Amino acid sequence: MIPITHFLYLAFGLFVIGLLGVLLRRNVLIVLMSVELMLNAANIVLVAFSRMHANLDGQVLAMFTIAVAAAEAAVGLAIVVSIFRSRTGTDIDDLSLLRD
Amino acid sequence: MSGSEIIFYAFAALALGSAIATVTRKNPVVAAVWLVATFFAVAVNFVLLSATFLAVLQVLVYAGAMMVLFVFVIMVLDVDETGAAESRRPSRVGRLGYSLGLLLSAGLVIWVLVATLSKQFVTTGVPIDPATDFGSADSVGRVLFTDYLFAFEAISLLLLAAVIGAVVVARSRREREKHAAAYGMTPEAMAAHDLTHPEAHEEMVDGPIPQTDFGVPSAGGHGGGN
Amino acid sequence: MNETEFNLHFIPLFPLLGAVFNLLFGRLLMRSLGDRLGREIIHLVAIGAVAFSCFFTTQALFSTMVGHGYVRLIDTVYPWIMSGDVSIGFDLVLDHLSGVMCLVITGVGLLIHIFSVGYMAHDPDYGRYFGYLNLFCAAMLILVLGKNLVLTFVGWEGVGVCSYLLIGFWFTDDAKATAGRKAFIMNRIGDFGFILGMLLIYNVVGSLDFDAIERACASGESSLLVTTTTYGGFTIATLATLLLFLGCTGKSAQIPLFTWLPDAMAGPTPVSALIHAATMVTAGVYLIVRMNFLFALAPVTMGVIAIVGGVTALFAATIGITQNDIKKVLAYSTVSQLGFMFMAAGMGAWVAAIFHLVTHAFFKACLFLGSGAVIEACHHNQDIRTMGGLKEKMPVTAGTFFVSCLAIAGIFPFAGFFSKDEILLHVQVNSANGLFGVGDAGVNTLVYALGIVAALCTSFYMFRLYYLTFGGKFRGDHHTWHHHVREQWIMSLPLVILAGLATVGGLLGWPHVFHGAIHMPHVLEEWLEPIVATSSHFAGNLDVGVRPEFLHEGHVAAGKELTGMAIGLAIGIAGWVFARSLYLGGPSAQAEGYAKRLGPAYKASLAKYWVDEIYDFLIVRPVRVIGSLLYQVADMLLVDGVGVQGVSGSVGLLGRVVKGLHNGNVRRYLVALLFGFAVLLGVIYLNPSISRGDIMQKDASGERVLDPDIGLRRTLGEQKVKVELFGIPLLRLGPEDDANAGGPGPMRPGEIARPNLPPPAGSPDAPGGQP
Repeated sequence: MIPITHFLYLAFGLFVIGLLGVLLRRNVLIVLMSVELMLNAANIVLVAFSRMHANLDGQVLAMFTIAVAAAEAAVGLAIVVSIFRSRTGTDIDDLSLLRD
Repeated sequence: MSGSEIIFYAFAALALGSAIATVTRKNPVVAAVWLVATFFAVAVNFVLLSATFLAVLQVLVYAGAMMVLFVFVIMVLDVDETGAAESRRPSRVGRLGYSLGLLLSAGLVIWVLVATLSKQFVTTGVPIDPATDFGSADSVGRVLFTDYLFAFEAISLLLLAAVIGAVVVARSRREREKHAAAYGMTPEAMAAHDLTHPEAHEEMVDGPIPQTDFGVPSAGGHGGGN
Repeated sequence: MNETEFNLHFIPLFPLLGAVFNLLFGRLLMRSLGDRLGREIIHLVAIGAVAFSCFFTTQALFSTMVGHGYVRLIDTVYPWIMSGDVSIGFDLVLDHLSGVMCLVITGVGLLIHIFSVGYMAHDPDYGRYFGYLNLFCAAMLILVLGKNLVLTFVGWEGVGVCSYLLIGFWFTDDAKATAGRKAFIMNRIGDFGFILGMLLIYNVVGSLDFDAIERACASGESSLLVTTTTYGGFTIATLATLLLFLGCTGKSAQIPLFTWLPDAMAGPTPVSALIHAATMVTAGVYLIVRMNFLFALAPVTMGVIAIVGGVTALFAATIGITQNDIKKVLAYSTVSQLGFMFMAAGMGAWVAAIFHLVTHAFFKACLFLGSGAVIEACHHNQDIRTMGGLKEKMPVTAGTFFVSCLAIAGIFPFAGFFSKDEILLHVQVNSANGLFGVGDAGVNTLVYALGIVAALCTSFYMFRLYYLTFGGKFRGDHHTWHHHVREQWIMSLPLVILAGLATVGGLLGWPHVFHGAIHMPHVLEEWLEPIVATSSHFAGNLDVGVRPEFLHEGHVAAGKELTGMAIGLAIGIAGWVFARSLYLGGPSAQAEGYAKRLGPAYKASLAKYWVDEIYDFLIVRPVRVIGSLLYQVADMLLVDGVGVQGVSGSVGLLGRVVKGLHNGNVRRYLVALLFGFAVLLGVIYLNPSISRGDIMQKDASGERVLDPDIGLRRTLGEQKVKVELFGIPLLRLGPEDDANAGGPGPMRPGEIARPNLPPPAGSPDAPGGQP
């Protein structure tokens, strides 16, 4: 029997790695990947608790998370493409349009 | 150590290791490959948690479709191996503030997570009757299309909107660029030309084959004066 | 009362439409159709509108009232203000009083419109001028046709606006624009009183309809308006009428609010004739006569009115003697004549007041238009010292002017003779009988004396004006004399008509004492009988009231009346003769001698008794000081400084402070996001009630208890969770009772055990059982 805690440790690890990736990497693409990592971590927690309670709600919620992640990745990558066109670069620090 | 435990620890280690590799690689393509590995490891963990259908979805959607999307975009953008140039460095004060904020925030989050997990937590689980098909496509589908029907429809709409949005954001300018590049003009000049000489299209159909930024001959970029 | 419905709203509607047309399209017409055709259309529309009103009024009067038995016509146009108990209709009424007023307004107005065609022939703002003039006619007609005080007030304000617009018609001249503002502001003071009086009446009567007020007054001294006393022991009737009279002094240029009228001469001369002589300024007299039933119940007010009227009559007349501006003389003459009307109104001689109003409209309009013709002929020069001898080139103007002078001076048989003598007769009779409001024969005699002296002055300054303008030799430059002085038929025609009216107008009020010679009814008196019926009943009960019977034979001794007439005629002729002797050949040395001998008095009169300067010192300057103080403190410091700039400045400051955060660096935004997330997490985890998932619900008895099935509590069951990091307690979850009491005891980490949820009812399963 694998204690549920260990799944939570795994999720925690993935989340922190993803978080640090988001915060520290300057390549937009890798930032997006890190976001996916964080979403996966959340999914693990959902599924683990779902198993613990023998309740399928958590799994359904995880499916929704996957769908939202797909949408987010699609739009995010589209934005990256269009930004790359106008700026020819994927450095997140160059994307200071929000300031203006 | 039972078989399932061995599998869990092996794939947990794989997931963590490939996640670290994902965020540390400089080359986005390499990072993407490591990400696929992470997704696979997570899928295995889903199986251990009796979420078999979700595990399949994880492989299909995440490791399959989304990774293809990522890799495709990376290829299309043709980002160089070293990543972005270190063109603009933040000021010293800005960097100090950033570092302090990062440390503080990350520390807080990690502290709370560690606090939650470090010593004891609920380690109980409801036993599952092997006769039931917990986590199968059948059982998940029943919940999904009854209790969560509305949320399901909403998510469908969201996906539709995301698809349309992605197409609009990514393609609108590109088409014009390709079209204009075929005639060696800027998109603005092209638009002006189209307005003033609508008949010019027919004459220019047989122009030179347009070259894209990616060195790939465009097949449909100028077909029939579209 | 015998009355019927009639479409009276057409009377003011047509001038209103004319005004709208000319104001909207006048300029356009002159531009697009050419100057000449444009002007033709403009003045034809304007004159046609007024002519229609005049025709319609006449038609209404003669098809229903005269010989048909109807006393008044009503037009309930629409319910105008409906709010709770307040119900004010846009109702018009044409009775005998408003009939007279309408005829004067439309008749004299029509003539003045025609005159304006010549006078304004070269003005570029032709359409605007006629638009305003028509608008004025509409407002004035609403004023006199209004069936309630509110509607009258609408007209009252409407004519005020038109007066302002027309005084400042040539607004590029700063002095003229200022004169317009002065008139407007002084009228505001009066209107303030008007509104207060109106509200006071409404408070007691509960309606502002003239009929309702009349009904409320019908019981005379026992009516609520008289029995209710208010501040200072005044009755409501007294206070309300005093306030209304304040409005009248503003509109009709009586002391203390008269100074705007001489300045109002800045407007075009036909405007002075129509608004500031014939119609608008008589609105105060009209209002008093319209509400005679109420004024009759307020003896104190009547006394005040009579004294103010008398003093104004003399005061203005003495100023008129020395003025050198042809229009200023006529302006002070107007103020003086209005004083006569108020004198009559204050004596309860309503009919005499209206009689003088009508005759004054005739001869004063004629005088003003005559002066307009003179001014036009003299290149817009208004100084009579540089005129003279104009009779030679302008015989028609001179003749009509002379006739009007005879009328205003009260020479038999011209109109002014009858109306002025009727007023003086009333004053005389009342003073003899001690019937005056104050009940003091001495004061009445004083008012009579004021009237007599004012009449003498009137005669003198009018003939002085005439001889200086038309007599002797021309004293201006030769170019003007040879090339400019002329008459135009379009300006002479109204003069002739008005002079004719000024001649025969007196027949409206043929005195009873003459019945022996020529038997003719006192037309106006019989005509206005229904109007003054209510207040006539007060006679005998009250100290004041209309006494139409005084003028009937037997009530006033014929000898007394004839004596009064003789005195009036004598002073009229005396003033004439004196003026003729001094000014027949232009300004004489003798006249200068008198001026020198009178010294300070002459100077005071020439300077208009420094009334403007006194007002300036007593009112205008203090108000200015207070205003600038308020401007500095309240406006600049509080509103602008603290209020506006303070708010915007603080926002700007805040913006500068937080601008550093908004640097466009996405990763820094992410850190901020994470920080906020971390703080939220910390709050949740450190707050026991949230972290325990204590979701409260109400049980059957209404007590608030924890819901065991929701939130983290469900996850935890009965377990306790205690988190320590390096010996520091970080987190405590689970029930708050002692850790050792209850619960399944410590669990081995990593063990998946059955949860310690309460077993379902009826389940024999013991907690802790392994599957």
